Amino acid sequence: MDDEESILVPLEFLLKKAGHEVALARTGEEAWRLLEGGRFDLLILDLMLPDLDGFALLERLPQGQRPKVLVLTARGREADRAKALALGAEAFMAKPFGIGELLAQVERLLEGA
Amino acid sequence: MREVLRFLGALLLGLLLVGGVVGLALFLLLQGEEALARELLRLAREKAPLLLFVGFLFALVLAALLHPLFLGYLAATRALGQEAEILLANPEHRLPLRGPLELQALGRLVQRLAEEKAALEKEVEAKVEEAKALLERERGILSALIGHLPQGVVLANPRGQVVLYNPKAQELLGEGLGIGKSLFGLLEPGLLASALKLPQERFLTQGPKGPLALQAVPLQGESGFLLLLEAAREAGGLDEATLHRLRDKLSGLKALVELLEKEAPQELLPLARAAREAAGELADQVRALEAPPRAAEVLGEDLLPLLGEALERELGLHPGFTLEEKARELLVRTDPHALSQGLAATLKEAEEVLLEGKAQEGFLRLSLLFPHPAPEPHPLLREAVEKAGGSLWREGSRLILLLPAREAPRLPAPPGPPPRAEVFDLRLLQVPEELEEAPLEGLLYTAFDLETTGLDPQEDAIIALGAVHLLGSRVLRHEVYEALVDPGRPIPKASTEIHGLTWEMLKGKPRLEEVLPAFRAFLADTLLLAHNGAFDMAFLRKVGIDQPPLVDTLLLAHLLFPDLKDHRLERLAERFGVPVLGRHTALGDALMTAEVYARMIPLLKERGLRTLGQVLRACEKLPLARLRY
Repeated sequence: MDDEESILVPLEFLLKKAGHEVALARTGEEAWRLLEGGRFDLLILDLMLPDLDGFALLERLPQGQRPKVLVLTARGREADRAKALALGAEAFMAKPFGIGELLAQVERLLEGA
Repeated sequence: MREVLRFLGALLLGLLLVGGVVGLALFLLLQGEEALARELLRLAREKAPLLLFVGFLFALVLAALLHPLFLGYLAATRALGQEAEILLANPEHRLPLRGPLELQALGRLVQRLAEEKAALEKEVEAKVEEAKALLERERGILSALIGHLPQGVVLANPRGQVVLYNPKAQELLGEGLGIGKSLFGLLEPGLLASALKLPQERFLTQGPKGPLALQAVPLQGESGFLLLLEAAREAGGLDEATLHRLRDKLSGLKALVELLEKEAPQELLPLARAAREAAGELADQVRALEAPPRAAEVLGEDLLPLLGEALERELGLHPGFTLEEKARELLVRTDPHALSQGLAATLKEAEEVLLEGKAQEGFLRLSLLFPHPAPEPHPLLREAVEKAGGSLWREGSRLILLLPAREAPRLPAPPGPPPRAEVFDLRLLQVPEELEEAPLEGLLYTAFDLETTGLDPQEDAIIALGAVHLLGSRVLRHEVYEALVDPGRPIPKASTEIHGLTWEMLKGKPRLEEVLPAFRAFLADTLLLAHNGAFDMAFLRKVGIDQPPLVDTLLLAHLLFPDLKDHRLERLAERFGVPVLGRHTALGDALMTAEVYARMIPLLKERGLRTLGQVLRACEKLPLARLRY
């Protein structure tokens, strides 16, 4: 989930090529609707979204059957990392990132799913 | 009028006396002489007009005799007394020698005594001046020192009233800053209270002219405090939102380029590789960019007690707090005032809270523990934490604030006593609570004057405003306000003849509503002083300025010199030896009013009028005070 089209395009391509099913959301509300409508193993979450803040979405996620969360954000501050992890995110990556690094992180998280 | 009544009374008394004596003499003479008495009565009836004429003639002669006594001797004596009183304020004043010769001799004697007294005073004054000169040199050094400091410096008494400031402070705090004015009107009282608790810390705030970094240092013996001010540097470099946008875009570009390199056909590989390398280098550089935090640093061991006090002050809440030993030494990046304001807003409904501070890998982790689910953080709190580069969230009954922090370098305390500040004017350090009871010399006044297009407050407009501050009897000539205003209409010739201003001269000047905010700021916290103030106030009330009470030098002149006929400002100025400069310019008249009032204070004291309340009550009794425009 990201509001930046230039990130969504390569990520979708990359993840699909790696054999994953991918759904895209450009706003927090859109992401929330998708999460309510189906089951996901992993959520790649941007923090700054035009409507619902990524942190707010993270707080909303139910504790039980929730996907793993990889926070991918331009807010790379340590305070944000600590907050994201405290709110239940499994991983945190600051933008700009390398796609190799991202794929490795995705695979690591999904292995444990 | 009073003189005329007294004169008529005396004349009547004289007539009754003479009539009574003549009547009694006749009554005694005619005892047992009934025939003669009847004859006399008959004669009186027959010659009644003649008798009336003689009586009238007698009354005229008596009036002529009494007239100089009452309207000459007595009035002239009283006028001489009042003129002599002026000598107390202005020894150079020459008594007008009028009236009977004896009175003129008395006048000459009073004049000589005054001259001798003035000579003696001059001698004493010379000695005082000598001592003062020494002090002045020290003051000069201090003035020069603070005048050239790049920081703004303000010295205030414990009540927050300004005692001394430098030009830089005025530049930063604007028109509202002035001797005797309260800093609490310019800066938030809570901020000053917090800053005084932490004199070694700099606080960031929004001043009247822009963002400020402020430090407040209490003086020894609770005699006031020193405020050090600097314009808060506008954060250089990128703001956070732009930086995030840049990182977002660059992330997309980098991911695309990396992907292209993977997917590109063999012949395009060198190009794709070069693009990937360039994107990588750019990403490294952007990663290193940081939006500068907009907050100062404060020691952990200072921060928690400060927050506790602020919550107590703002909400009456008494939060307990614990602070881990390691966290005491941390230099926490935060604006304590903004943080305490944010906390106060968040904890409005809270009845109980415990603050817990712990050190956590580059942060101070401040947890607020509630006996119920933690409240939603107020936007002010989010903003304060965000500005400091921290984050906050809720975890059940805890509200957690993560504030960036580093270990404080321990510096040895400088040897010797703490630095001391010199205080300029100590009179301001003792101001009584009640304005009513305030001695005239302890008050801060604004002497002001207006020039207008005419005399009707309903129809006419203000075209010039002039004002000067006056601390007791000291005219603060460096604190003046002057503005010319475009009335947007022609000025009648009769008015121009008085003040010399024409519409052509004022075209292009600001409109009244543009200059009023600065004028209001100049008047704030001061007592208004004007000559014939009822006129000026009628114009000011129309534009929403009403700041009673007002001290009026015209009323004071009537109070002090009821027998002197001319109470115009320039005539008063002449009497008091005040140079008449810039008459009928707003600032010139305001300055003259201030100087005249300064010289009236000792005369008012002679009359037992020492406090503002006494003076205002005495003025209220004057018939002139009831005049309304």
